[in-house]
Amino acid sequence: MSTTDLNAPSIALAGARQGASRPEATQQPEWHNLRAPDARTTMTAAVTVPPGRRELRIFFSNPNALFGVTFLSTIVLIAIFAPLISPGDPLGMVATPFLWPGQDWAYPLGTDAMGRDVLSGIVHGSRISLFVGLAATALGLSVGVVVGAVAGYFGGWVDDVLVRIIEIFQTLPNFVLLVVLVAIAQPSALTVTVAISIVSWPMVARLTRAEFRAIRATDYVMAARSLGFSRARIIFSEILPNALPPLIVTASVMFASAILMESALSFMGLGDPNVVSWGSMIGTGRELIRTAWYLTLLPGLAIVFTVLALNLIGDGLNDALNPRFSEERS
Amino acid sequence: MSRLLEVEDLTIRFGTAEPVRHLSFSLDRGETLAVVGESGSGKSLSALALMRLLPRNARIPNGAIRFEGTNLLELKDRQMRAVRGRDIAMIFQEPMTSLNPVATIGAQIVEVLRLHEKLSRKAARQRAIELLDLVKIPDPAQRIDDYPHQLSGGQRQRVMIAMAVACKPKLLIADEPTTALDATIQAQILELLDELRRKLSMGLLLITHDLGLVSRWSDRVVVMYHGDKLEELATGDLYAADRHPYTSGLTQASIRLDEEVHYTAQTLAEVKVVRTPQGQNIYDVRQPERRALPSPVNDREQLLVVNNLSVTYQSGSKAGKALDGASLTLAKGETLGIVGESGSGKSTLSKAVMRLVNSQEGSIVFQGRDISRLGAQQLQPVRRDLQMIFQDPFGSLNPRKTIREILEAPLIVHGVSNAAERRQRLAETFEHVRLPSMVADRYPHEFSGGQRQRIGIARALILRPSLVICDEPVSALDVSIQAQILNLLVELKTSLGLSYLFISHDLAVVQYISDRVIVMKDARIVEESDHRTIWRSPKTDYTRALIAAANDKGGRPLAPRPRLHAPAP
Repeated sequence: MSTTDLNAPSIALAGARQGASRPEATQQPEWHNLRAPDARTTMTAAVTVPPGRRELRIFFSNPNALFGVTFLSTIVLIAIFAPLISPGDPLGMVATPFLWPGQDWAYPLGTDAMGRDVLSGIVHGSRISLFVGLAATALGLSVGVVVGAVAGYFGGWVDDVLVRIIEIFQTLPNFVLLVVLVAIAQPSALTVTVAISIVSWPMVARLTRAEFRAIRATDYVMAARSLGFSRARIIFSEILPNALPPLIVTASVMFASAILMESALSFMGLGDPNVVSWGSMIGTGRELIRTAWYLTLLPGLAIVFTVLALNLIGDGLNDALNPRFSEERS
Repeated sequence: MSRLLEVEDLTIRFGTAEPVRHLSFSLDRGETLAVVGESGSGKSLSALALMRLLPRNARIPNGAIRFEGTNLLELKDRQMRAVRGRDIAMIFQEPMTSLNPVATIGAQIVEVLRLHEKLSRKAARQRAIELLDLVKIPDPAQRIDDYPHQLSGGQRQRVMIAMAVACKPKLLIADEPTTALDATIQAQILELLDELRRKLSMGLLLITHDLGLVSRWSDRVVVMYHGDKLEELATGDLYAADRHPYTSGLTQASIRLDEEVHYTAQTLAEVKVVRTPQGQNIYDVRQPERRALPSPVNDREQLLVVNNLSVTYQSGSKAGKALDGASLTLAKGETLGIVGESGSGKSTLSKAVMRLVNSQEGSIVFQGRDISRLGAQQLQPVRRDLQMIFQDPFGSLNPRKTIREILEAPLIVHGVSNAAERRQRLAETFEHVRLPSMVADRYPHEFSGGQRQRIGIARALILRPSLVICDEPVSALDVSIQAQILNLLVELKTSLGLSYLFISHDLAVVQYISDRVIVMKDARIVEESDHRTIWRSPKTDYTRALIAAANDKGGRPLAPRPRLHAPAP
């Protein structure tokens, strides 16, 4: 609700953007009520803020989000530099089996039943988890956004048909569909990715459709239509940027659930057999949980923290991008 | 005995901002005090503070609100809840959303009654019926079991009032009680409030931006601007000569139907508030200037001829007509005003002409060509000449785009690929709407309502159209801004040779800007006439009723305004 106090910085900002051009001086009186008192502006000012520093500032002032970002970037770095951190094949037998963590400092996290290095497995496993998570999210998001946007913007029979298709996917239990898809195709990183995106796009499509239906009715979309903008331009340039905030938040949650789904598939032995993954490590360690529980716990912790980090980022993004919501909570 | 309400030195703070500063006023039993101000003046916040309903992040660093001697700010939450509804009641602007849609109106009134008074269910229901009768809902014993959606807007506001006065409050706060209602209903609601004030000898705090309303219904007026109380005066002095410049600016800028001001004869007064770097406000009134513009005649070449245009809509299995056989003509350089109450089809007409909704029958001949059946491709070149200004300056600009992006997009779409030319067109348009070009890289939320509306006008003008459809372009704006935008529209019309289709529910505004006027009711055009005849000798009863409602909002007659003494040209 600040009007007067925002006056100074916004004028300063204008000055900074304007640089050294001074002939504006004569127009100053006309422009006196820059940031003029106006209840609706001051209310909306806090809500519809364009993409920019404000969101970033809110996001990074949130300790949870900060933790999420830090942890996730660490995992990403580990994944990128995995061959440098622990060279050699993570599936290779390197030492005596059942070395407990700390028993031999050459293998700080111990070895499994086949004498494979657990640390190396976790480091290399991060690659497949992140790859599948990222690729499945990107794929599911693009398909979901396009379908949802088309359904929401055009409405009518197009909407009816697309919504029916979405519903068909949503009536099938996600994980069963996933298992069936992977079982039919050869399990590999690629098929797992595609299968995960197939089960996750309908949620995005529904969300996008709802956003588009609401935004489509706004005056600025009406204005765009009256100016003769093409449909593609209205969908991607006018509506999509305004529909993004909830989609970004969803993406971070999708990422997390994709990692979980991949782990679950690998746990059941439906992952790529040639690649080590956190899920497959848990899967092989599960029979030995009484004698060597660290084999399940350590990759399990890796999954838990990565998913937690992503969820914290999602929450932080939600607070930053939907200020109305976060203001109500404060 | 202490006065009913005394507000002393009240300051409301949000973080570092103080939207209300050092506000003091008092109110006696049976008195009506109006708090007048434009949006952002802090009038609604002050009302919420009286009810202790401010948002949680608001602080009241100093001040006292004494109600019958008790400082409300010192009460515990539980004590305050007992005061709310029983001693102080409030009615809000939006009757559509202030009632709970899933409970019958009877249940909602009974709930209030039983909350504050020990009444049996049956007795409470009986009281509720009496209350509905008091607020003049016809056949209250039947209507008590209606749900809010079964009532009209005016009736819902009556129910809100019935709930507010259910426990015979000593103070009733009415925050813009009639702003969302049609003119014919407004008068009835205010009459009702005034009658209740007398019957129950309540204090009535009327919060509004509408000066016409204030001068008819209040005893005293507090004028606020941007959190400061500028002055307090008896209502009779509102139009007196030695008022605060802002007050006199407001009274001059608000146009009245009975004064018959027309754009060909004079400009409208504008209020200017300049904020000095020291944080001081300097108030200035730009006096109206007399002028003699030629009045365009309709027998010249027709720019737009709409013939028997009908739009039907399908809701469920029912088909209804949103527009029924509308015909009109618009000459080059002419402004055709369209008036009507909500739901009369005036917005549908404008959208049909813009080809934003499809018409089922009839033709739209624009620049000699029927555009009613053209496809999107063929429509593209037509769009350049046919533009629209929207009502809501807050909803009509994409919040994620800078002003430059908003204004350049139409040029890009219409094939102006040369960046230098686009820049030049932008500068030219900024000049037309009186915005400094340094604003180009800002986002819409950084502007006030009036400035946003200028940007909306700029967007409509940048393609150099010949016809601009203005759909309630000033309805969402404050009085002072309204005058500025109207002056600007007239100026643009004369300098750029535009024609307007000007839609508004506000008769005074339409009277000022139109050369000819069309009256719409229930999806049909009921009357058409030139701008003088229609106000002086309306042909239909409906038009007469509209004019009567706009002229006579009941209460005491308006004080005659001193005629302006601008030198004759």
